[in-house]
Amino acid sequence: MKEQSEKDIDFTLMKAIQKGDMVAFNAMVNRYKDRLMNVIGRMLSSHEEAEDIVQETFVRVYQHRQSFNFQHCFSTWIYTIGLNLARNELRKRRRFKFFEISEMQGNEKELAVEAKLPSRIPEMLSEAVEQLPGKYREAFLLRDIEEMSYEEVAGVLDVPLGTVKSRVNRARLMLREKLKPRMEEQNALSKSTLLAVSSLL
Amino acid sequence: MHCRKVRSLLSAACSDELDSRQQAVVKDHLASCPSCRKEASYYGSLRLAAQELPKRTLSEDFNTRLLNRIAQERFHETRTRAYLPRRAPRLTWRTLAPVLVTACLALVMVGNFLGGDKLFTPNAPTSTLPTSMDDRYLTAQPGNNPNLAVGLHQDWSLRQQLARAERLEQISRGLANQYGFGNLHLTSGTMTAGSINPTMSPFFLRQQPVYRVYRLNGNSDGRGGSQAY
Repeated sequence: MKEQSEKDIDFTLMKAIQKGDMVAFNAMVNRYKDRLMNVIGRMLSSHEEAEDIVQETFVRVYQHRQSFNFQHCFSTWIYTIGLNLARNELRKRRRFKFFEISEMQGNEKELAVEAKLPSRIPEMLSEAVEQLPGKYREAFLLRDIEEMSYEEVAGVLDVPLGTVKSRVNRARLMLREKLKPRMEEQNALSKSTLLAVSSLL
Repeated sequence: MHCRKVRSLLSAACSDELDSRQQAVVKDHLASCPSCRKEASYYGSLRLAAQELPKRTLSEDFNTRLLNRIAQERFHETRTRAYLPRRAPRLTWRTLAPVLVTACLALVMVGNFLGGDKLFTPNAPTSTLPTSMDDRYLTAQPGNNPNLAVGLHQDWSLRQQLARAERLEQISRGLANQYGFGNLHLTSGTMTAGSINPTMSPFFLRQQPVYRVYRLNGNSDGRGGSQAY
């Protein structure tokens, strides 16, 4: 019911945007900018680049507003645009990796500070997510961070539902393996966690 | 249910993605299996950590920068795209037919205007220029003109010309004998009646001869100055 109403709000705003209503466009930006940043920011790690990609995503939405198909979900559309732009950025970055490393050689002190391991599990998880392979990271972010349904994730990534479930499960397994030593070290199996597990089940 | 089967479901169970029957089975198993419960706790803490992940936030002037960018985009749109078609027009018979029909009608109207009523009148002459010219000059012969027909002969065969030349010689001789005139020379250019050779091409004979009569000044033998008249 809530999902349906969200969809209706998106469609109403989109129709207004198609007529050139900039107030509606601003409302749409406010609805999606944080969600997009949460996903794209974790994919790119660089805050400035992620912000540029989010901005570019909204510009693309505005440019192609007339070609939006109301048969589909707006959230699926905007996430698809954002993820495609982020993937392109990662591809570019991979191409120019050599230059980035050479730029970083002068700041050894800063690197030493940054290399310090985070103490809390959420920070560890954040780093572990960034190290995941792209397809698992995208699936995990959309499902577990953005809490989208499997169907929506399948729509955004344009892969079958079973593939999405498999990727999410695989990503959780990889993250669990990475966080396991730290969890044990910090006595993660404390009463609070056990209580959380028992409440989940 | 075996531990292996339960552990494959633990990730989904901790995210509440199983149906109620599977969820109950997993819960029963965890109540009796400490190792699987430990495994489940990892997934539980992972889920809690995911929920506690710090949110990535945008800078405060994000909206302002974005709207500036959109304003530029709108300016660009009004300067270029508004005046251009969305896509190149397709040339099909359906689109071309009205254009062709209109063009044909326009041609007919212009032609009718320039050509007047004659253009589509069945028996109208196709041109205002005269059909027959006065080409009588092509067939005009001196023979047709009585003023020019003096001394002309119809028969210009070689034999007749020689006969005429002989007759003129006789006349000339007779006149000379009777009135003391000199020789009457038949001339046609450089040709004289006396120089006519029967083997000569008849082309030269097809010229109108010029008759000149010379009268001797006092001499009957034809020598001395002569005067043509």
